[in-house]
Amino acid sequence: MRRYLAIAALVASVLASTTSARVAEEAAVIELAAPRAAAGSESVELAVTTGALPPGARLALSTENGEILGAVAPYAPGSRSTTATVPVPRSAIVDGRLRLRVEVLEPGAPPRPPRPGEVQRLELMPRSE
Amino acid sequence: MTALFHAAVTRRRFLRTSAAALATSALPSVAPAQGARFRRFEISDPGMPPRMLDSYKKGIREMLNRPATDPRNWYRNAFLHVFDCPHQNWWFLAWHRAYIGWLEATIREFSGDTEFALPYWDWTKTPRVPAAMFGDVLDPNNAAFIPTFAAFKPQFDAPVTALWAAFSPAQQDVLAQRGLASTADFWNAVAAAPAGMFFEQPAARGLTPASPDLDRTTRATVALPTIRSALRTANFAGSANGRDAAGFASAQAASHNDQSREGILESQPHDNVHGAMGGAAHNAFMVSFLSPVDPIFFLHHGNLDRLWDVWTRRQAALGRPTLPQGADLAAWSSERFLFFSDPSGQPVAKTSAGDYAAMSVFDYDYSSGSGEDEVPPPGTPVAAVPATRAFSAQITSSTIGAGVPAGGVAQVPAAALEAAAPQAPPRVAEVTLNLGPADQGRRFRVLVAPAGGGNPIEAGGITIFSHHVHGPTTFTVPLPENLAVTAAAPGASVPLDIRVVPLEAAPGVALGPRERATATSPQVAKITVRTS
Repeated sequence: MRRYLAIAALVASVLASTTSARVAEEAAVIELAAPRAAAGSESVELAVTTGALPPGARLALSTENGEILGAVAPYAPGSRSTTATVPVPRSAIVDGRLRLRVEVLEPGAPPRPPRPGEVQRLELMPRSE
Repeated sequence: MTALFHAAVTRRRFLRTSAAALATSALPSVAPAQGARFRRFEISDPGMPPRMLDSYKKGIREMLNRPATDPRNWYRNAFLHVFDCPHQNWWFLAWHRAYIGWLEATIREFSGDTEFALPYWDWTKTPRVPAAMFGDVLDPNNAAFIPTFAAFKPQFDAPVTALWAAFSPAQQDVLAQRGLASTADFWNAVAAAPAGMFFEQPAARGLTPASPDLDRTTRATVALPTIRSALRTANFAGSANGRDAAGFASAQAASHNDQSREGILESQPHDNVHGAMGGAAHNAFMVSFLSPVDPIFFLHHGNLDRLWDVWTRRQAALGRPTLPQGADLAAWSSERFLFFSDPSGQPVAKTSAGDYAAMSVFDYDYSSGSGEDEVPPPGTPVAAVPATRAFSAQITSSTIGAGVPAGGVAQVPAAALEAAAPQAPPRVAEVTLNLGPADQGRRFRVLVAPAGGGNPIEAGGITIFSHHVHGPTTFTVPLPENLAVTAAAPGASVPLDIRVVPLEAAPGVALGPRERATATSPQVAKITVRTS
């Protein structure tokens, strides 16, 4: 439970600079607010900054309903941080909010919530198309 | 003779293109680039001449058999990726275009197939390792490859030492930036897995003929919606540390040895396909920077290069830039790639990123593949992406004290602050703070008000959260939608007073006595207002 709270505090504090984030009550599900409604010619991206992950680990990102949005698989060996971009379909954003499930996929282990430091930033951003 | 030769090629091309169009009938028919000498086919395309894979195998075998002192040796060619490959920055695509282009030319030379062109792997269409890539030397678990690190290192130890002694100062500088200042550093990196990058057989590739499928998560990252999202990215590269889109080619960086932000193309299909090749145990050359040992590397990157071409044609059809603009183009183009060799084993003359901006450098094109439907017909009227304008504030007080705000005033045209068009980029204030370690966990409000008595409006907050809090860090806050401004005269500017106001530490982050005592360190270094 403590680790979920740590994630919640991390994400909420990081996102406070640009979005009004609220952490969902469910473990490892995070609610992100889009900074504003995407216009007709815009799409939405999720910027993800990871911390150091175990060897071979990926960060899987999906909606609360299980739709896979993408994954962050750090490729540079020894990289302490990767900032990646994941497209977010408009259908995943309800009332200006995205309920996001974040899991760490490690070889030979069941999916687990991230530990403190493994996710450093999650930010929804509109993007011109 | 030349005219006859080209006529024959053109007819063959027509037949192949027709077959390819039939095979991908779900995709709209798009005319290939005119005049390209070579065509790269999707590996399962029935229009691909069967000899292409035979030529690839022959070339690989020749390269595997070259002495370790020859830069055209297969493993020596893979070393280039360890020495010099850019990732997480805007040279990602150009460098890999050069890399696969020179490899293709070398295979052409060694195979004797003067029309050889690398196939590509359209993982969107076929989200599994193509069956042909398990055949013969197309699989790094084949006996023609060196099976163990114990057998590998003795063959390459002396040649690597000689190579290091021959590197130019400029090359040594690149290697030092990548933590490869010495041969000892190199061998630490290229050690046996899991400590290093060398994956011994039978773990040279994790996916097998019995289990060739990309995993479920990776399939989502190569699915058409993701590819379309990548192709719809409007900019080539975002700024290094900005909050704009990272860009189709990933974001800007100071050099190709630095890491910045990954765009969708690099972070989703590129990274995840590399990782997925390791299978459940995550064992494969492809998961490491020694990934070009696996011949599928060049088919994977061929598809990424094809998508760069699709994006370029889409941008051109929409009247948008296809490369960085202005000073950015000069910076991008002049980056030096110093390690490539030509088919004769000599250093190449084309050493600048700009040399690889267009496919004409290697005179090839691609058969149609996934994402092609994102290219609108020429002349399609589409509104251009609105440009943004930046206005720097004059800092009036820089030191944020305990309860003491700091900030500055930016002169912004009133018209730029009026209600924005729906497609306009967000209007933001970028606030750069000089931070110290004691600032971790601190929070600030950002208030904006027209100077001269207007009530301040809360624009957003800043929370310092990083393991490495040091130096200038820029935070972006949106300007309030209800920021009413009145210009003194039509077309005049209005002064926006932007203040950074300290708050308590973030919830759950307790400041110790030392932090409390020094919690006055942030300096407002810069404020920029960015509008459309």
